[in-house]
Amino acid sequence: MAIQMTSELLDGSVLGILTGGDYYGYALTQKVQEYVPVSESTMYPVLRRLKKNNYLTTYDEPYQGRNRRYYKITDEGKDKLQEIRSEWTEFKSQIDKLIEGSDLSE
Amino acid sequence: MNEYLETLKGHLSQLSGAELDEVLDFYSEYLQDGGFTTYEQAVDELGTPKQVARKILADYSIKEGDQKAQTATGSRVDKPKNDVKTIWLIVLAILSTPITIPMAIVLFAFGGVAVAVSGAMVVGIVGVIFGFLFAAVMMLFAGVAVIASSTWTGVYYLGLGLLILGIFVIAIPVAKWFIELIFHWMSVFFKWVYSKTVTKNKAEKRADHK
Repeated sequence: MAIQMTSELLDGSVLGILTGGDYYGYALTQKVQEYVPVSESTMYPVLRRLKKNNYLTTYDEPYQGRNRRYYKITDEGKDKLQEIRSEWTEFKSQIDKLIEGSDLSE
Repeated sequence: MNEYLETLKGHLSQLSGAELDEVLDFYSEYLQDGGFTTYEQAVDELGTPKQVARKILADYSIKEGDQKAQTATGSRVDKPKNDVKTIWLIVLAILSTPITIPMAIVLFAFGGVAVAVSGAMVVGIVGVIFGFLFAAVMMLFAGVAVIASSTWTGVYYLGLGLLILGIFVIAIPVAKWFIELIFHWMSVFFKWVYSKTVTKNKAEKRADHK
């Protein structure tokens, strides 16, 4: 994979997934990996960062005799997601123009 | 699996109690939910505990660095130390991929040996050349010195001296050619080493991202 996921995009991806519902760590990682090749050990720092900035919260739920930690998006998280969405749209359209190359008239 | 987590814990001794618990909870849950029960399965999935620990610590260091930068004034003194720590952890994180450190050691070893051997050969050749020159000069001197007292001995030495001088003259281009050959071998060797290194790293990246 030549194009790398930046941390902004990882944050956005996680937050985007969480708008669809709460996920526990393993399921969340699997979900992201359905779409982009991301290493598992990348996920923990992302989640920790998002939690530290209060973009998501966690809660535990008992499962088969142990606790499962679920991640839930917060309101600040939703705002941040909006921010990332518009930044990405802007960035994406610029890159598309450059890559197309055909109509870069000055 | 517990062995894996215990090892991971061992590598994360720098973390505070709460942070450490959070990390271990996450990875323990991950392994359980994913059904990775043996140590080997955990390594296949996540990498070795050491690699995972390095990645975690590197991330912590970057975050800590950012925060210290924000708290300006008082932490002026702290920053350089933090930067060094950050850089070191990142370098370690990068280096702790399975191939690179052993590869680097092997490369240094081979490189060192190659340079030493070629150096020795060059020195040897130069030494032989000078030996010829020296011998020739000595012979000529000896010839001239003796010729007065004993003609044929003198002639003998002169002849020998001229012979060696002749050999010396021929030897120079030969030696030059040989030394150039050595340098050529060296560059070919280093190019091969470079291609091996770069190829291995790309393959690693492909494997990493599955």
